[in-house]
Amino acid sequence: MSALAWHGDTHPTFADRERLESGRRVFRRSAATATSREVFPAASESIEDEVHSVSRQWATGLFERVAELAQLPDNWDSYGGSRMKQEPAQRLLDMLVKLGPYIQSEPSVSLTGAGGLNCEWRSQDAHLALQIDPASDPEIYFCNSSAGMEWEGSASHCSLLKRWLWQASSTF
Amino acid sequence: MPISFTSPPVVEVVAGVALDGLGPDAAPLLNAFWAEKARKVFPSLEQQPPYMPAMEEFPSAGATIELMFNVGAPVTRLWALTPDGQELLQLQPGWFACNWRKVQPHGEYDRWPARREAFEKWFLALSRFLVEEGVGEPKVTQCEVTYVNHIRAGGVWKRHSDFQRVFDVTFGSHAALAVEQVSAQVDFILDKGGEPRGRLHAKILPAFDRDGMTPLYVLEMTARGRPDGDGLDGALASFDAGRAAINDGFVALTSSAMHAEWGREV
Repeated sequence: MSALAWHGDTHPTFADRERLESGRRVFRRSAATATSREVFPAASESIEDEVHSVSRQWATGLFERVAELAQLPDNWDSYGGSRMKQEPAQRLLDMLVKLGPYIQSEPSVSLTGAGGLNCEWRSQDAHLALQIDPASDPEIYFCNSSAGMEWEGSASHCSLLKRWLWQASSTF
Repeated sequence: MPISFTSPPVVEVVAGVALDGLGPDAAPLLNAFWAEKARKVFPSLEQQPPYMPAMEEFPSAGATIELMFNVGAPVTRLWALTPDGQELLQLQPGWFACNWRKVQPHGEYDRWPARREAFEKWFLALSRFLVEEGVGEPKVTQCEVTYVNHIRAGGVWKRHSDFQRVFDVTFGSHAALAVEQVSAQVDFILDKGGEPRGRLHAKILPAFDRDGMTPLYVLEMTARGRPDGDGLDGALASFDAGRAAINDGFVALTSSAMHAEWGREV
């Protein structure tokens, strides 16, 4: 039994929205400095301290975008693209709930031809794309121009995903 | 003669004051101040969660948990930024600050006199605006100067475990276990004539640079305490004392090898 309830086929519910935005309920430490989110803390306690200071305002926009994409019919792209499927959308939301503390800004979200979802974050130095298609593992593409590195593969093999998400979603 | 460096690792400086007499209902006035007086220089506006500065008390009140109960409109903090994002004003009922931050990798810290001058200019502008609006001059209750330093791995050190090459501390030299990295907070009392007036808080945090790979240590130093007299002059005097304490603390906590790398001048 899924923890999520959906209206009809593929509409995310307010329960999803609540889970995504739940970071807002944590009393957040706020800083007078502006560079505190520029670097990724190396100590686990510091990460907990820091991530609770990150606002989850991005979750509202993400939720609304997914709800908007859920309205698109089959052949939405006139190339036979499938309408949004519940299974990958649900997996994406589950994944973002877990990764939420490491996300600093709203991603661009688009529908894939197979009815899955693609999320992208771009910062000054980094670009990260997370794509989930029906019945396949989440795929990650990451590129960091200042470090001259590029990586593509399954999310399950991506040991630096949290750190990369932090970088690519940075607003600094 | 204060010690200075040709290439200090400073990435951000904040000069801020806690204010009395500006309650939550002053938010529209702060918006108006931005629109009428600051917008040309700081055209971008961001909304941030409120900042609740810790109040330095003697003897220490110990750790406290701040709880906010909003009975009216929620308190928000405005960040007004210059087009390049290098300077910003923080406008919040009960809090005003000027920040400088290093935005470009090769940007250079423009030194304390410029930061002091920026605070003086914009605090005076805000005070005058509030007087014109009939609110009266805000009363400074506490002053705060913060320096954030990003100490990157390079010639002197390579890994977080090399912390003793970065910091002038002796720790764990006889421990059987290998130290991986160090996170620390050291608090010092700032006094004047034997009377405590504030504290200097130094925080050391291991982190990774924006490339996600290069180790760095964040050394954040905040001097916070009572103003050294009334009005703007009292705030500036407190800033100067706090900044001098930060300078002394920074030199004392960091290693001479790092001082050489940063180009120690005296």
